[in-house]
Amino acid sequence: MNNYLVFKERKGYGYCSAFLFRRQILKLLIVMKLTAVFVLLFSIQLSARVLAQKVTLNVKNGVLSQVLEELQRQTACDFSYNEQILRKSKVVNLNLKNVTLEKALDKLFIDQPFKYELVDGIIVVKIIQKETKLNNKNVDFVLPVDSKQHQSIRGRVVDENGKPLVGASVQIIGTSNVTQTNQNGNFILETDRQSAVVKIQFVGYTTKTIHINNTEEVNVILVQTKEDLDEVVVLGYGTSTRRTMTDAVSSVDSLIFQENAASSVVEIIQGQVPGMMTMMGTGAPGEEPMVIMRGMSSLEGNLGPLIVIDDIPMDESFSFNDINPNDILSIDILKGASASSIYGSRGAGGVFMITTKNGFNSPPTIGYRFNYGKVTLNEPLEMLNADEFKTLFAESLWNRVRDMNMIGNNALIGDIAAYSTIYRTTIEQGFWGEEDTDWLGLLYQPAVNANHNLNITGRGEQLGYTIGLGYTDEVGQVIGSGYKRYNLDFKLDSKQSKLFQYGMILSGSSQDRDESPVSLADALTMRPDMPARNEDGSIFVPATATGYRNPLIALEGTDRNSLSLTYRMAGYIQVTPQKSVPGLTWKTLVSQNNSLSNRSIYYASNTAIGSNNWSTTLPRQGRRIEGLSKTGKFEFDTRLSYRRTFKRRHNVDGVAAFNYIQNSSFSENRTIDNFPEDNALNGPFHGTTPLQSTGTAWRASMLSYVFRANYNYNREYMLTVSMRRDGTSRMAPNARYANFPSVAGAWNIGENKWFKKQVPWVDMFKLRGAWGRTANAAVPAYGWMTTFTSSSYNNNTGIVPQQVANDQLAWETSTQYDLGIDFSLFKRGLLEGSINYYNKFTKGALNSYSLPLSSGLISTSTMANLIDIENRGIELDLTIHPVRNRTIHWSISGNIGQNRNELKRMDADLKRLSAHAATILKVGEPIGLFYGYRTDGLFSSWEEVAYYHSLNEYNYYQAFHMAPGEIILKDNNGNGWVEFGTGTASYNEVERQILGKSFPDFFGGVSTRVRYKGFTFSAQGSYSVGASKNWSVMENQFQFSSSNPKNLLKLNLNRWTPDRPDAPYPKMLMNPENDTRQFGRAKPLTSYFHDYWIYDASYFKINNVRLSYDPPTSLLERYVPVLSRAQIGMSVNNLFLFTKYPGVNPEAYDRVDRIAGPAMDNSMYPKTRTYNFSLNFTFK
Amino acid sequence: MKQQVYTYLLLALVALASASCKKLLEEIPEYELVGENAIVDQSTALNALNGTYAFLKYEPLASGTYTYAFSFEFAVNAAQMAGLLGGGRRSTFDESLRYHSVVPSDNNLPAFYRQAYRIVNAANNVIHYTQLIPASKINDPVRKQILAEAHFLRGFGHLWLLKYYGYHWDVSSEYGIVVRKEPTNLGNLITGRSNVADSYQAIIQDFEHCIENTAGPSASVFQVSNSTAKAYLAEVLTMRQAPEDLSRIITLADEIIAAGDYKLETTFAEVFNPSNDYKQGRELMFSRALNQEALADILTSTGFFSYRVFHNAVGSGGVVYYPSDNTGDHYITLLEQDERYVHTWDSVTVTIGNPPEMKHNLSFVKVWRANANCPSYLMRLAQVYLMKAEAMLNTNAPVKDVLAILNIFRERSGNVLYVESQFAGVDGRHTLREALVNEYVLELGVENASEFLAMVRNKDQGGSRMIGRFNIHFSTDASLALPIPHDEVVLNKGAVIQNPLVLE
Repeated sequence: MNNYLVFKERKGYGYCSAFLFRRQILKLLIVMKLTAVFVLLFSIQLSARVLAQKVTLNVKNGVLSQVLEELQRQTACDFSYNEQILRKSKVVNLNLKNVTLEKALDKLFIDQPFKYELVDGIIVVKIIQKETKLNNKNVDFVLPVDSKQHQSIRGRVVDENGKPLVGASVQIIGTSNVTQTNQNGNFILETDRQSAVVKIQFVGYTTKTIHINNTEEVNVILVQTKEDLDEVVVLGYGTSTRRTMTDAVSSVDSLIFQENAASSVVEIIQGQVPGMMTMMGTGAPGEEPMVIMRGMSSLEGNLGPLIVIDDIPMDESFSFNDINPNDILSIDILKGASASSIYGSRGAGGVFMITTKNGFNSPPTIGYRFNYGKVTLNEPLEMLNADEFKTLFAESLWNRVRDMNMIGNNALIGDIAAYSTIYRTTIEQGFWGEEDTDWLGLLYQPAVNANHNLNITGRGEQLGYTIGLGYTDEVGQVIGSGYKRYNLDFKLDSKQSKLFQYGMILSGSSQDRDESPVSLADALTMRPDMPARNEDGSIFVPATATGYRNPLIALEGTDRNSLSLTYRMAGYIQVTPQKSVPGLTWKTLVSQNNSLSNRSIYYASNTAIGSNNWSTTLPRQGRRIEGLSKTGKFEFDTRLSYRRTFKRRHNVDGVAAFNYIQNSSFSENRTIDNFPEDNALNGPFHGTTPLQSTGTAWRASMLSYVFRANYNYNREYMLTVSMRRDGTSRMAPNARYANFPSVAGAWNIGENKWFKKQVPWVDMFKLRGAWGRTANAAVPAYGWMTTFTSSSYNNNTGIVPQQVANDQLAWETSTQYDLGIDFSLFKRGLLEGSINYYNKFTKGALNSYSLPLSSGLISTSTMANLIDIENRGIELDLTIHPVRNRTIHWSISGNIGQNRNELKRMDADLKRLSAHAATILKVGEPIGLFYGYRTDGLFSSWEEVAYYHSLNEYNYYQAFHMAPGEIILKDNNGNGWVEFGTGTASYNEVERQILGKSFPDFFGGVSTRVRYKGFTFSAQGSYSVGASKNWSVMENQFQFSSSNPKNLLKLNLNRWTPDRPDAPYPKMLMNPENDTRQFGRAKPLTSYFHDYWIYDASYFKINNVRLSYDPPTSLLERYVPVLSRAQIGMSVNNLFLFTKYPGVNPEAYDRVDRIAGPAMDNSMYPKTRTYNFSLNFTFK
Repeated sequence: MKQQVYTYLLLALVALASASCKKLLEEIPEYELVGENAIVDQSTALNALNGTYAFLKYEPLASGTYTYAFSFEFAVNAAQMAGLLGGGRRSTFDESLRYHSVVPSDNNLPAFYRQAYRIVNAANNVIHYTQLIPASKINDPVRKQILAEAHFLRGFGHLWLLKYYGYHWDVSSEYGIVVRKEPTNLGNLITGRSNVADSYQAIIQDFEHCIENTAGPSASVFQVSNSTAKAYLAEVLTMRQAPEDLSRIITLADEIIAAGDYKLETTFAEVFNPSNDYKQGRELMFSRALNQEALADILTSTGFFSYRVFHNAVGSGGVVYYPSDNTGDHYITLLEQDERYVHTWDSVTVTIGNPPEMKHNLSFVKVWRANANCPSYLMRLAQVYLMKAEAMLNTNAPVKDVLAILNIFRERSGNVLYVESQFAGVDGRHTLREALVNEYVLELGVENASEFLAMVRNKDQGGSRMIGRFNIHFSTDASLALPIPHDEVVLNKGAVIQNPLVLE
C-alpha cells in the first residue's frame, strides 16, 4: 500500500511516533510527580508487620474459635480456619495485656493440635496432623504438607463429565495471584510452600475453594451450578457477582461465542441482552450494526455504548467489528444508573465490559478452531423480466392516455400526440431488444466465509504468555464485496515477586473491506431487454443520454479498497503489599490505542463517475478518491483498590483512581481527476487535476477522578456509593468539569436466615434500587471556541471567522434511576431472571443550533444544550432449566425490553431533520417520527375523483395525479383540498402530520440449549415489534418515464387495474411529458413524503441454530491421543426471518442520519443465510 | 498503626485528587485558528482584512461551504427587479424577482442574505482584534489603514443589505436592517432590526471613518481608496436624500473628480475593453478580484460549485438571460435606440470542458466576460457623475448644468446629445429626471443595482416611481424590498420582524 507514503506524518498525529508517546508520558510524569511520591511513600510505610499489632486477651475456659474472632476484631486481620475442625480444640485460658499479636498467637496455640501461619497477610489455622481430609462443602481437599518454600500448583479443572473447562478462573484467595485454565483445563500458579487457599470459578459452575497445604497437582471437578449467582461480573474498576451486585448488569451467556460462527460480535449477541436494541443494517460484509442501550438519549454525540476491553476503555471510533469474537471470554453490560456512572461522561449509552481470553499455563497448549460458512441467497429482489417489462410499459402508456382523455384538458391534447409518438416508437417499431437479461443475477456470486483461530498459551518460571491469531475471510454475495480480518492478541504476564507484578498486552486487527463497485441501483434499473454483452463479448454500453448504466462497466472499471488497522498496546505495574496492608492493590496502567484507515477508489474513464457521467461538456478522464483517517488514544490510569472482609460478614471493597485520556483524530480526503491511462497509470501521483482536499483534525483530553466503595453485610444487605469527576478540553473552561455521583442499594432476601428457613426454594430474591448520573462527552473537540478558517483573495492568503464562540456549551447529562429484582427460584435455579425498570432523563442534550443568518459565520450552526429527552422502560429476562441432570441439560431463555422515548424540550416545537425531510422532532413525542402527508387508499373510479374535486370551489383537490388507481391524499385541515408548498419553498406544514414511529414497541430475544452427553443443540432468536420503516425503493415503482424507462420490481405485477380494484399498489402510469412544474406523479411521490410506503417492520428472526458433538475423552485418548479435546459442529446463521415487511431487510437503516436512520431503508443488498461447519481442537 | 495506615491512605488520595492537571486539558487546535491566536499582529490582521474582501469573490471555501457569487448575484437580482432581464436559471427565483413576488421561504434567499453579513462579521472581527494588538506588533499607520478599510467593508456589507432588504426609500420607516458592530457571539446572536434612519447613520459613520483615515489612491481597484469611500458615501446620501445630503453629494463628487485618482474612459467601449481591466487611475474605482487564470480555472474546472457560477451567468447550452420581454418593452425600446446596447449584451463564445468545447451564448457582458478578467463594476466614476447630476437636479440647479453631465456619457458612447430645449416648459424638469434615470439604466444597468435604486427613488410627474415604467409588475412599495429570509425571522426568535409581504 504505497498510498500510505503519500500522507506524511504530521506533528501530533503520527501515532507511531515515539516522540508523541514520550511527550505524553513526560507531561504526565511532571504533573503527577506529587502523586507518585505520595504513593511510593505510602507503599513503603504499609510494610509494617501485621504480627506487631497489639492485643489484649482475658479468657477463661474459652473456645478457640471465639478467641480467634476476638483477635480478628481487635486487629482487623483476616483469619482462615474451619470451624468444624476447631471443635477438636482444647479450652483456652489466657490473660494477656497489650502484647503483640504474634505473642498472643504463640501462647494460644501452645497446647493445641493446631498451628498458625501467616500467608499473604492472612492468618491460617491448620491442624498439625498430616493428610487430614476435611469434610466441608466449600473445602474439598487438604493436601500433604511439604517442606518446600515455594512451589507451583498445577491442576486441571473438568466438569462432571470429565471435560476440561476452558477459561476457568483460579485464584489464590487474598492475593491478586490469578490465572485461567487453558484449552485442556490445565492451570499453574506460583505460591508459598504452605497453606494457600485457592478459589476456582467458572461460568455456570459452582465455585470451589481448595485449602492447599502443600501439593504440586490438584484435580478439580466443578459441578454445574443451579444458577450463575456467584459468577464473576466485571464492573468498571472492579468485579462483583450476580449475588452481590447492586445494579442492573447483564451478562451474555459466554457459550454463545463458541456456538455462533458469525464474525460480528453484535450479530452473535443480538437479542441476548435485555434493553439492547440492535439493527444489523443491510447485511453487507463487515457492516457496522447500530446498537442502542436503553433508548436514544442523545441526538449528536456517540449513541453507541462505551466498549471496555480488559479494563481499557476504547475510543469513539472503535467498532465492534474490531474485535474477534473468538477472543472473547465474557461480556458484561453495565446499563444501570450506578453501574454505568462509574464511567461518568462516557457511560450514557451503556458500557460493554469485554474480557478476552488469557491463561498462562505450563506446559504450552495449542488450540485451533476452524469455521467454514457457505452463504446462500435468501429472498433476493426480483425484477420484471423482459416480457413483463414490455407489458407493463405498454399498460402505463395506455393508462396515461386514457387518463388524459378523461380529464379532457386542452393543454394535454398536444401531449396525447406526444404519447402517440411514444406508442409508435416503442410499440410499433420494434424499439425493444430481444434479450431477457437478469441484471441482478449477473452480479451475484457464490458467497463463502472461512475463519481460523489459533491460540497458544504457556508459562515459564516467572513469565506467562498468550498468543491468539485469527483470520476471517468473507466473500460477499455481490461480486466485488468481501471482508478480510486478521487478528493478533499477545499478552505477557510476569511476577517477579509477590509484591510486584507487571504485564503487557499487544493486540490488533487489520480489516480489509471490499465494497462492491457495482451499484445495485444501476442493475435494478437496467432494461431487461438489453444485453449485458455485445455479440463479440465486449460489454454493452448503453447510449449516454439514456441514463442506463450497465453495471458490468463499473464492475470492471472500478477498483475499490478499504483497509483499516487497529491496534492497542498496554502495560501495567501492580503492587500488592499483602503482608503490610492486606487487601490493598495499587495498579498503574498505560495504554495506547491507534487506528489507521485508508480508503482508495479508482473509477476508470469509461465508468459513470470516471467520465463525469459521460459528459461531453465537462468530461473527465478517470477519478481517484483517497481517504485517510487516523485516530489515537493515549491513556494513563492509576488506582488504589482495597478489599477486605471483617468478622466474616462485613465485606468491604473500594477503589480510588486517577485517569487521563487524550484522543486525537486526523482525516483527509482527496479527489484527483484525469489520468493518462486506466490500468497502470492510475496512482494518486498520476492524476493531472487534483481537486481541493477536505479533512479534519482534532485532539481532546479528559481527566477523571474516580471513587467507589461497596459494602455488603453477609451478602444480604448491599450498598454502593461512587463518585466520578470528569474534566474535558471539549468544554469551555467554566463548564469543563462535571460530577457523576451514584448510589445503589440491594437487599437479598434470599440470604436472610429466617427467610431461608421459611422459603427454602428461593435461593435469591434481591430487591435493588440505584440512582446515578452519566453524560455524553462525544461533542466536537473545539465546539466552544471561536475559530477562523483559511481563505484567499487576490493572490493573497486570508482568514475568515468560521465558528461562533460558545462558552455556554455544557455536558448533556443523564440522570437515571433503576428499580430491579433479581431472582433464582426452585431447586438448582430452575427459574431465574430479573426484572428492571429504569427512567433516564437526559437534560441539555446537544443539538445543532441554527444561527441567525445575520450572524455572518461560515458555520451556520453551533452545538447547544437544547433538548431534554426522557427514556423509560422495563426489561424482563427469564431462564428456565426444564431438565438438568448429569446426562441432559436443557435451558430456555428469553428477554423482552420496552423503551418509551419522549422529547421533553427543544428549541422549536417542530423541527424537520435536514437529512431526511421524512422525519421530525416534536416535543411530547418520541424521536424518529415519520412526518408527511397521510393517504387514504386509491381512487376506485372517475366518480370518486369527481367527488374529491367537488370538495372545493377551485375543482382542484391535490397536486398528485388524480385518476382511478392513484393514491388519495388526506385533506388534513379540512378545507377541501391538499395544499403543497411552491417549487422553491417547502414550508407548507398545514397538511402534514405525524405518520408513525420508527422505534419498536418492544424487542428482545430467545435462546435455548440442550446438552445430551456429548451433543449440544443451541438456537438463538431475536425479535422487534411495532417499528415502522420507509422502504424508499417503492417510491420509484409503478411508473415509467416515457423516455428511457427503468426496470421495476416484480411486485409491480400486483398493481391496481380495473379488474383488480383491491390491489395494494397503484396502477402503472407513464409520467407526463414536459411537466415543468413537476407536479405530475413522479415528483410528489419522491419529494412529498407520505405514508403509503411506510411499512410495519416487525420481525422475528432465528439468528443461529447449531448442533455440535464433543467426543468423550476416552475416545480421543484411544484414537487421537494428541488431542485433549475436540468438537465438531454445524450451524446456520439467519435461518429464518418472519416479517411482513416487503423490503429486503427490516433491520436496514440509513447510516448517514443517526436519528432518522432507523426510519429509512434504501437498501437493496440481498438477504443471506449462512451454513457453517466448524472444528475445534485442543492439542495436548 | 491503623491510624497511620489511614493517614497515608488519605494522603495518597489527596495527592491523587490535588494533582494540578489544568494544563492537561488545554488543547489548542493544531490546524485551526481560534479567537485567541487568529489576529495577533500586523501580518495576521492583514490576513483577516484580506479574508473580509474575499467574500466578494465566488469560490467554495475550504469547508466546502458555497459562497454565492457576490458581485454577480447582487447585480442581477436588482436588474431582475428593475425589469431589465428575462430568463434565468435559478429555479423560480429569477421569475419571482421579476414579478416582485419573492416569498420569504424561497430557498435562494438565505445564502444571498448571509453572504453580506459574512462581510460584516469578518470586518467586525478585524476591527475588534486589530484594536487589541499591542503597539509593538503593528505599525500605527498600518493599524489605522486596516481599521479604515474594515470600517468601509462593514459599511459596504450593511449598504447592500439596506439596498435589498430595507425600506431605503423611506427614512422614517422602521424596516431597516440588523446592524452589527461587534463580532458575533452568543450574547449578541439575537439582534433586532434598526430603523431606516439608524441604519443609514451606521453606514455613513463607517464610510466617514474610512474617509478620515485614508488618503489618496489605493494599491489596486480591489482595495478601497479615499475616493472610493467618498463615492460610496455619496451613494448612501443619494439613497437617503435628506435635505442636507444633496450639497454634500455634490461636494463629495467634486472632491473625487478633483482628486484625479480616477478618470473617465474616453468611450463607453473602453470601459469594458479587456486591455484596461483593473488598471489604476482609470474609470473603474472598485471591483472584486478575478483574473484570467482564475477564470480559466473556473471555466475548465469540473468542480460543481465553480460550474454553477458559470452556469448561472452564461449557461452550459442555451441562453440564460436575455433583455427583458414580459416585463414591459420600455427597456428594450430604450436599449435598442442606444449605442451602448452592443456593449451591454453580446454573443459570447466560451470554451469549456476538457477537451475544450466551444459554446455560444448571449450574455450581458458587463457582468460576465469570459474572454478576459471579468471585472465587476461595483463602483465606477460614471456613477459619481450621475449622482452629482441627480443631486443638482434635486437642488434645482440649471437644466443645462445637469445636461452637461448627462451629455458626457451620451457623447462618449456615440449617442445624440441632449439639448436644453428638450427639457423646457412646465414638465421640463420631470423630463430631465426621466432622462437621468434612463442614463442610470443605459450607463450602469446590470452592474451594481444603481439603476434599480434610481428607478425607485425618482418619481415621475404623477408621483409614481419610475420603476413602474420598466417593470409592469411593480404595484406597491412593499415589493421593492425583498422579504427577510424565513430562517432569519425564525432563528432570531422574534427580534427580526418581517417586511410587510406582498403576497399574504
